[in-house]
Amino acid sequence: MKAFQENLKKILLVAGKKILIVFIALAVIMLVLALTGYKPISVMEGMKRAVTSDIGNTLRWTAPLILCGLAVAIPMSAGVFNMGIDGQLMLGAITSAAIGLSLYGKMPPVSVIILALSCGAIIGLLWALIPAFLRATWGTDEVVTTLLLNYIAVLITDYLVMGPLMGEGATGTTYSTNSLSTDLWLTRIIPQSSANIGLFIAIVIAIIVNFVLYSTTLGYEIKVVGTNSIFARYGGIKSKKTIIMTFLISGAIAGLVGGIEVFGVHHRFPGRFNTGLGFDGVVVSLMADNNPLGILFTGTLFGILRNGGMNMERVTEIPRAMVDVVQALIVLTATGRLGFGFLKHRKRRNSSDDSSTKNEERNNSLLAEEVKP
Amino acid sequence: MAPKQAIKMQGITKEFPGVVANKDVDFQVSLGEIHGLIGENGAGKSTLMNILYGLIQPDSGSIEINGEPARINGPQDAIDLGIGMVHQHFMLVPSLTVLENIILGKTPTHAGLTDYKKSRRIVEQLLKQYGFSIDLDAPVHSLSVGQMQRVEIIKALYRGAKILILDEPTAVLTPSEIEELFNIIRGMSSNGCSVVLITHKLKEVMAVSDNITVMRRGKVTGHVKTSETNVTELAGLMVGRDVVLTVVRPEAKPTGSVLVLEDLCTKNDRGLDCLKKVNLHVRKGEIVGIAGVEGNGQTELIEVITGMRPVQSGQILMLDKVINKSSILARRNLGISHIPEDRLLVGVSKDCTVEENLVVSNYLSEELSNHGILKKKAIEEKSWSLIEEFGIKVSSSKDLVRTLSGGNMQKVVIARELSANPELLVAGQPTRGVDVGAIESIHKQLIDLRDSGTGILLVSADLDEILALSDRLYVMYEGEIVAGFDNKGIDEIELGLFMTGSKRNTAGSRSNEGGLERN
Repeated sequence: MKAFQENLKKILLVAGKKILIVFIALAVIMLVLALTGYKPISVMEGMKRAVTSDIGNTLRWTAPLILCGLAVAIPMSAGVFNMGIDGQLMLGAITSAAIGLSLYGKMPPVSVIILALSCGAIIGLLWALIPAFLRATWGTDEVVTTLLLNYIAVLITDYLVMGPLMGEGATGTTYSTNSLSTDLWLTRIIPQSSANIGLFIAIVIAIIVNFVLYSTTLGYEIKVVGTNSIFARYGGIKSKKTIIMTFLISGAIAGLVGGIEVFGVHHRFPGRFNTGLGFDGVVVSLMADNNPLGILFTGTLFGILRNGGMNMERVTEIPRAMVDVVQALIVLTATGRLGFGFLKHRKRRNSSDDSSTKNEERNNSLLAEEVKP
Repeated sequence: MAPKQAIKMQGITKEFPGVVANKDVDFQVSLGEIHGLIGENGAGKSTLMNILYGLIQPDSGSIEINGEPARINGPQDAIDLGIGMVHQHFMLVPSLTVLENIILGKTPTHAGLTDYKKSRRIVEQLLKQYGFSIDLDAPVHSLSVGQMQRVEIIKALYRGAKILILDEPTAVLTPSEIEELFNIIRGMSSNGCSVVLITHKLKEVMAVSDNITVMRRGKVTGHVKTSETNVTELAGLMVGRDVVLTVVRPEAKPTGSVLVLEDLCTKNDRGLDCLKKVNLHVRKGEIVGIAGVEGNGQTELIEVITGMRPVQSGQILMLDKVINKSSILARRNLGISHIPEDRLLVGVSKDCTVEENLVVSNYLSEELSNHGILKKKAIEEKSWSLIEEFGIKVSSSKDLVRTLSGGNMQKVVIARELSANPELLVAGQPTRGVDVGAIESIHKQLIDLRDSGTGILLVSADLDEILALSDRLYVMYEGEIVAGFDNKGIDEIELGLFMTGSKRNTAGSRSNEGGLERN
């Protein structure tokens, strides 16, 4: 019971800190608004709408943000970074859309949906295999390769959506595929909004990822590789295999996000529809310390911010650019927190002799109680 | 006039939550004095010196440096006062060269750029003055531990240290390196520097110091002149109980061979040959020691046997099977356990829990996992049984290893490796930096393991340890086995000659000497 209470205290403390970060960011943006002559309170109005009347569209964003957060968290737990979520997502999305369009009517809609989403995930996985392979074979920095592959992925989807998959009525500037039949749309969960069962998929996957990370041998390997890869090697763990596995899972989740966006929200593949979900995923994951269940909360928080920003734009005259500033500030504050963590870590390391001494003191006093001969 | 005090600390008290690390400690060192500060791990030595170095603020007490009251709020203040500290765990940048490490943070510049010429001149002058020899252009990661320590000392001197604190400097050194270090210390003392030597090796403090302060459990238990004391008295002051420094080692009854190395060669990180046609064997139920000055290929020998480093040529035979290309996991499954030399870097993952560290070599076993799913309860039970069996001091099996003391970390490593019931144990520096009580128990565990039929290859920089534990021993020099002995009535002087390369057995066949036939 006492342990439970302490755990609860710990969790509340951590959660409190995260919420504080968000409020700091909001305070700064209010300051910016005041300085630029807008009403600072409009931010809060936007946020309020995001959690009340417009909760549906908040949840619409929550689903992909949670999934992107998970896709970032898994490799990051193993000490590698998948910055290529956006590319994997786009390729997954266009794959899903293509399959949905071509197979519709040839099998039951549910089968089409499942097949389309799975294929999207597989394409995401295969796209993630490229940087994973490069990293494992030649040690190529995965941050660089994944970032660059994003451009290639987006250009591939551009080619497809402007060429073979171009829909009727698409023009050079607003190009997209044909729309999916309504039979194929993911079920909506809140009327008058785009919130769909993708949210449940996200929650289920978060729970699965939580299980994989903390209760399986793969999760154990990921943690060991992520905390000390030399120790992992010494213990007989094949780090390269582990790292590749994390990338494959990550890519598959990213591809699935693409499919869910297409089948649940857009119902077609609009060219370049993705506005940085992958990078938001990085922040969602960082704020949750890569903990899958924490990501459920930080994902929701980011959903509120994203939708709150959009609402702010809708109900006031504050320009769209301010929405981006809000998000950028959150990113800066979140990474600012990381900076503090880093400094604290350094301080701790500098006085590590001190802490080990402390422990030995404690151990010695334990020793004394045992009365050794 | 009383001799001027370089350091005068009075009434220092420092409490950490739950423990008093220093209680009313007085500590004085004169100018040019070599002062030994001794005590078991956790006696409060490091805390006291960290206070002096400004890393920790005392709760109460005063500090005077060179007769002036001083407030030391951080290492920079300490450095400004001419205090230098060499930590047990080195604070060097592995990828930079020796020279770059030395001048880091106090770099001579020319037009905003690092003036390497000037730096080199200053550092070389320093090397000459104190009689160091070191390759300034070698990257630090390629150095042996002893050499890294020298870099740390030079770094402190370069920053103008007049008072040098050495935290467990000999824990990682070989006898000859220790002697060298002592010469350096004596040289510094005659140049007017004061040196504080934190250690728990009594012989060394007797050999080199002028005065000794003994601490036990946060308090000073004795303050003696080295010339007026002896090892027995110091040991008494230090532990408050009689320590048996000898090891009871019954006669070994070795049987068939476990490990055979045939003409084994490999290269080090710099691509140089570091093992040159090594031939040796280890049999079941015996401890084979590898003696030698550190940096003569012992590290690479351990790595190549355990699979951390590839073989260039030659053969490794484990239970008559060639394992040259086997993976680390395959070798572990064959029954090789490995206590690595560098436990912080290799032997544990500090940000994982004690449990997670204890199962790294066997989490795939049926006992602990099933089709990729961890049996968490079994892992916790297994961990607790190891924690109890090996006396690891933790409050929970889910404590992070980072929070444990060095000695307890080593117990985690030893518990894991010994509990695998290995056929062969490769033990690198198993007692490095752990306190006397723990050394005793580790030695006993190694001998028990031997008696249960395990072959043990023991690599240690501590010659006393090699001599106390080994049934046979080989001497390594510059990557070669230069001699092999039965551990009976060894002439230590002759051993020293082999270790320093002054003498070597010519023919390679002699390296299998030891009087014992290979089975």
